[in-house]
Amino acid sequence: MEKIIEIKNMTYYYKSFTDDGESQDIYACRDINLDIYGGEFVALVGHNGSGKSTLAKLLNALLTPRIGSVTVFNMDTADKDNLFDIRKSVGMVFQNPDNQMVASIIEEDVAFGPENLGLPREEIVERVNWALNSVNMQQFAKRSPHRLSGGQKQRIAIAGALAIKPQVLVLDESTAMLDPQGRREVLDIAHKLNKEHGMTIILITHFMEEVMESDRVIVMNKGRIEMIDTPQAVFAQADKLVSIDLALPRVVQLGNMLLQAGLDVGEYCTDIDALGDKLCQLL
Amino acid sequence: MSIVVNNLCFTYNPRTEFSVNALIDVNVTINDGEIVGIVGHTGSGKSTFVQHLNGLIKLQSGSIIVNNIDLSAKKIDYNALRSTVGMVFQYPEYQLFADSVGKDIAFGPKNLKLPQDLIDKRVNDSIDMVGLDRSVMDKSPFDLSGGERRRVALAGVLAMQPSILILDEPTAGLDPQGKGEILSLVKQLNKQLGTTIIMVSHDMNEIYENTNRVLLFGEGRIIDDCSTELLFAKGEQIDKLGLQLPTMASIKNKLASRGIYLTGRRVEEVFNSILDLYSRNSRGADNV
Repeated sequence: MEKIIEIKNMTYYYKSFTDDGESQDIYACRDINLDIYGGEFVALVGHNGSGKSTLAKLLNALLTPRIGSVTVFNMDTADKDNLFDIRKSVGMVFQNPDNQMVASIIEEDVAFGPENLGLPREEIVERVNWALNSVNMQQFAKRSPHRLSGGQKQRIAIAGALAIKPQVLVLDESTAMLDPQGRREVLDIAHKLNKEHGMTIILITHFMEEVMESDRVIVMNKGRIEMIDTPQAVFAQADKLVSIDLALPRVVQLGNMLLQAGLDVGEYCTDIDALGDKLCQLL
Repeated sequence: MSIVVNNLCFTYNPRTEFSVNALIDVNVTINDGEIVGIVGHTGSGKSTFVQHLNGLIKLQSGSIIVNNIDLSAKKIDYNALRSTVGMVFQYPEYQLFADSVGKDIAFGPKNLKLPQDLIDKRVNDSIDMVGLDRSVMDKSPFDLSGGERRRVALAGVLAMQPSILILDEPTAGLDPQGKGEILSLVKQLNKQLGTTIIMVSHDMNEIYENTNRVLLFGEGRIIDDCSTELLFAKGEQIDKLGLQLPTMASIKNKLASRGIYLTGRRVEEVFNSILDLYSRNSRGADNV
């Protein structure tokens, strides 16, 4: 696979000012080294304040490194001349669906990106249709976003990012404010885009259940990368995850506890039915 | 008896083409000191229901009596009602507005026109209760983390000393640690002060582990009202509504269908129950 994003010895700190007017550096990301490959589905997890959202913003030059470098499709994010092309390559969807609507009609909202690329009208129409189709929201094109559910709004936000035709889509806690059904809708769309269009997906979340289907999991803690591995290998390190305030899915917790107690329930069970079957045999 | 609701119906935009029947003939009694979970799909009427309980929505038909305050009366003492029923909305940290934490928490008691020393005491007590350090008092809410801000918002509600606390998705958007902190705080309020807790949540695992009784809403009606254990043991009804079964409940149900009965709702409890059965079985096998 082709390396599309390369982060080298990257550190980012925010400047914060105390009441006395003194400045303080708050480190959000420290010494990050990370490569992302084309077509991957990567999950980025960490507790609140672990630096995962800051890292996301560094991927499409919303922030630029204080130390080290971030290179996206061979473009240095610190070089202002690359900004336009980087933002075209890396689309971003944020947490709160209500904060991401710019127009009062859904198709106009989705058209906002391509309009700003200065594309011809026919192409804009085509892209909007394609984007709405990809998230199964075509039938809502002429409606207002206000009466949609959270999951539907978030799918419109994804369509808005898709209309730019990015090669990478970053979902920054885009499921955090949704109900379970809405969360499922958004995840299904992300997996579909990954499988059918080969789009690289970077899913940022603190729901450990959501990372089970990803290719790689990146675990962040206090601004540093703690682990990069497959979901199974990450879940196997239960103690480490708990020590950095991450909870394992309950089914994995139970499986791990049973294994440790000497019951042969099989390695790192992430499937409720499979664990249930094993237990039926044992009990 | 703390909350009695009879034949409650509510229609949004009545007599227009946008009219929606949000609540249809809701009947329920919630006793003092209970921890009740409210679950149901988006649009099933959960929020409309809880907003009735502290008078945010005016009664259209039916009756509600909350701690002897009759909400169908012509004149309602809203001050008394809102000190009785505390409401913590979704993402309550977005509602912090004062320039310091202390002022924000004092807002409610101040509006009750309490004397200053009593206001100060309530503010201090609430900060202690939510487990924050009193030094946050002079900070701006915006200098706190998300979890801390949510606790400040909760402190603002607790400063009204409600005997009934309604929480709408209290842990949404928090990381596991933040979730645990809020939930143990809620349980502690129930245990120590006897506060009645009504918790709306989409997280079935959370409902399963923290409530004793569940009201299941669907299309504006309460379609089931029973013990938490029983509701999730029935399984199919939850499935049919597209709600997720709690992880431990689905494992227990799977085993129950083969005649193996586990107890407990938290992971550790179910784990212990499995070990217990396992060791009994192997001891039984040894005897034979």
